Amino acid sequence: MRGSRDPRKIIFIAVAAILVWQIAIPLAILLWGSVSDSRPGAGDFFSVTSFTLDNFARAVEGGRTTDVLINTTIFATGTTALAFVLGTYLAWVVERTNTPFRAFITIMMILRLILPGILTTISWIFLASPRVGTLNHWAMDIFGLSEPPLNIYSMAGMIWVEAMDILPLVFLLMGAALRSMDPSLEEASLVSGKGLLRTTSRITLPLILPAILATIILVLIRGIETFETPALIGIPAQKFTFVVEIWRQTSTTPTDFGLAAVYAVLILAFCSCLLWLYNRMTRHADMFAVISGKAFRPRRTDLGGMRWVTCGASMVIIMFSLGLPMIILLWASFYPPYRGFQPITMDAVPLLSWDNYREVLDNDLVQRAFVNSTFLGLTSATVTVLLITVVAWITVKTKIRGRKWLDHLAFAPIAIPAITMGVAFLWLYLTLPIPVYGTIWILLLLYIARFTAVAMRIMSASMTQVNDELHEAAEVAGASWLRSFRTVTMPLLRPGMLAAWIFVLVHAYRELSASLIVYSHGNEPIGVAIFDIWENGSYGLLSAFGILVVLALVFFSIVARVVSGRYGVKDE
Amino acid sequence: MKQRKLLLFLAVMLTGGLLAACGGDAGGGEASDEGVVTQREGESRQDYIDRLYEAAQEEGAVSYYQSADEEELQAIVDSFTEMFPEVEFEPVSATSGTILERALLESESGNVQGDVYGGGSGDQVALEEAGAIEEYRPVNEADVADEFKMDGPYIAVGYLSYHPAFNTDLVDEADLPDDWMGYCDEEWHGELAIDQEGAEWIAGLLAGMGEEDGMEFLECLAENEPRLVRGSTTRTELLASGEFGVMLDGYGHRLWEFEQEGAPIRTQRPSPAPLPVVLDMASMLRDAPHPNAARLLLEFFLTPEGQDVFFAQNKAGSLAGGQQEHPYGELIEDAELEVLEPGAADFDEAFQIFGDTFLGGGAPAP
Repeated sequence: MRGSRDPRKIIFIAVAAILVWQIAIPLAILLWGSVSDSRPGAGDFFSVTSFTLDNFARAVEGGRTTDVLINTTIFATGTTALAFVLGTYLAWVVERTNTPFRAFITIMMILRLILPGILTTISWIFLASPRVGTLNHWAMDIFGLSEPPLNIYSMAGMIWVEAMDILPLVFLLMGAALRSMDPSLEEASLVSGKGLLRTTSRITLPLILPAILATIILVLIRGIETFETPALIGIPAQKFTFVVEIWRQTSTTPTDFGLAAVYAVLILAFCSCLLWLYNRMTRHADMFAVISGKAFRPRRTDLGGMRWVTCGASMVIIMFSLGLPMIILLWASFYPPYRGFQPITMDAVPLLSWDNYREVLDNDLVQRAFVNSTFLGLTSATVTVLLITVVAWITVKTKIRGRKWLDHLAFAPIAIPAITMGVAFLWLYLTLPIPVYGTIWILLLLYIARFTAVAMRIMSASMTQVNDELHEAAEVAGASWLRSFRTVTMPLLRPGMLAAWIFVLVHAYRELSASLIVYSHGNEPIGVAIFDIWENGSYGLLSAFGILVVLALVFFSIVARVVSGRYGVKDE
Repeated sequence: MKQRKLLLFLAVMLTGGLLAACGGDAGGGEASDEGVVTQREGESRQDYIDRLYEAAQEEGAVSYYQSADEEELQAIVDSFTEMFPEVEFEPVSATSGTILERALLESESGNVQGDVYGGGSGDQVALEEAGAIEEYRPVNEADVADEFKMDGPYIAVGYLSYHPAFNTDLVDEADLPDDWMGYCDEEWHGELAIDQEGAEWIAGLLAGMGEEDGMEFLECLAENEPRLVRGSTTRTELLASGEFGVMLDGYGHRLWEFEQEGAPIRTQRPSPAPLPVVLDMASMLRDAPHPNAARLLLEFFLTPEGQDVFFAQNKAGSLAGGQQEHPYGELIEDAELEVLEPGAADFDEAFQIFGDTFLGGGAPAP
């Protein structure tokens, strides 16, 4: 440290204050709300006289909490298990075998990653609904069944749909782990006569065990916090999860914010435990190394003729994960209004028209949603990346005391379910006399807080690869610290910053569950607009809108890929 | 030492935030009768509304809190702005729970930003009990049908009725039961759908059938495991798709719209008795920052132009007969309406009953 006027100290205090404001204070208010019998914003909300454990007692007393806990557990673990098996299989196929069309598989998974979950959830309702699901119709026609074999409105249906949504995340995480492995140990094992199976079980698996466990934990957190599938499929199936309960308690009259806070605190506590486990497991493993400096490529197993079998199986997974949902969405987008949804049949073809597209392009809500999401995506991505670049620099490149706390604070949102964060922000800005609620700014602040964690991991990994010597040389040559950071360090970080920026942009377009709590008229992002149109029952309009969203996201991704390619960001 | 300083700093930040929250009174929306326009003795309606409009222009805007759907809200904005172009219309919408919570919070904190609250009976009762609304009787209320003239500090601007409807490809109209209990028969198992948030419908049935008969019906209905689907339009669309044979609680105006457009659905005529009817209501928020504009908006709702907004969506208005033809009169012909005025039903209790009966129980109310 170079005295009290050291700009590093001032910057540290400034970013710490921002993170405390963005993350710690909303959570503190939420935690207090769970033990207060007063409404947030009421005069006595912060008074100790409002302290009560009644909300927790009511949560236990009703008996419903146990059911919700069981549903949430089955849903999250089932989803994690299925997504992990399928995602790891695809990652293995792409990274460690000579299966054909590996690049195609990777592109399809990346495309699937950017699709909003609400669209694919709705697509699966169209596909596997008992009465009108296209797959059921086909199965009954082809096999002469009297009853539809599939029922999407079930726990199995929920797990299937969510697993398809999380699959690309597992694919990318496990792919990175498999790719980062030093192949020499496996090669030594094979050379010494151990077979492929034994090498895999004794060498490969133990090597990537930390990555496996970390992936499982991250996916489990995602399964607990997800909203779209439990809301759209779980509610009709009467399988309520914590996230849906929070949403119901805060969005439906009469509201019960105390109970919502209890549920939010419970899942927050559970996710925090998982995060703690995750931190322990990844202390020595950098799973998020988007820009890695490895100089080796793991060997690929020659599968011989079996490579066509693995290729076929991969294509089946991609068909279920991406192909069928897109086909059904496209079909529904051409189906006329007031006829509900009808399965894909030749008889219905003459009814198809462009009406939904004409209507959607003329729809105020749709136009607003595109503008809002574009603004939110670009702004939140830019602000988050700039903020987190500074935070990552403090935690990785300085010896400032307290930097570890900053690191933990910035990564903490990974354990905060989106809906919990939405409720926390709602309370914060309803309580404080800051005129943010009811404007688009509350969504922007929320998005920045939401995406801090992943941006932090990407930027930390990127920062560790920047050598200090250049920055120090600039300072020795007389440049101020600020100037050398701006002109030397930041340009070196550009690939990492671009990767984080793209990640935040895409996920801002996908965001729904947190936005649903704090949006207001005029500020609806795309996720909320889709949900709104779904709730108003305009399936054709919704599908046409969905197709346009997909096209927009693909366009953004191609532009991002071209731009980022110029700056040396790798595909992963 | 420095780490301790950091912790101290974080603690100060946290405490500061909380303290700032405690003192969260931003002023705004001061209560005052000064400058509020009232109708003079012998003054014509039009003259009074002209003066109200002038005063509202000085206030500049009117803030309307509601949870209406996008289409309806836009129609209100357009129509009001056409009639009173110098008053900016500022709609604030969110889900019904959130918007009610916001209005209550603003009232409790003395930081009122809304002028008019639009919502159902349950919301209006909650606001009235919290002292968050104040009475204003629009001069245009003289044109409202007697059954929709309210005693409390709110006005009825229209109403919604809940009807059973069926998919014509799946169900023969002759097979429909004449009374609600008929839907408890086993033949309807798995064929029915109701709203996932069906507290208002339940409140109407309990009020019309009586507590005992109403509960008997709900309990036997639950055994038929009706599909719970959120949103009237979604249910109507799924009914048209053939996802289930009968929905028990469709909105009359929405069903009529689908019928007119040739969807394969038909509303049961006449509906089993009672036919629950809920009111679309509006009220002026206490300490509204734009009290004249708030009054102007309430007057607007009870003009033919204001009512046209609802008629345009096939909804029923509250003005006395003869001013407008009922948009779906055919559906309520011979039906025994059970109009749920504020105070006529305990919505909190209905919500609890719904949760206990159809959602496997819920936490006890706070």
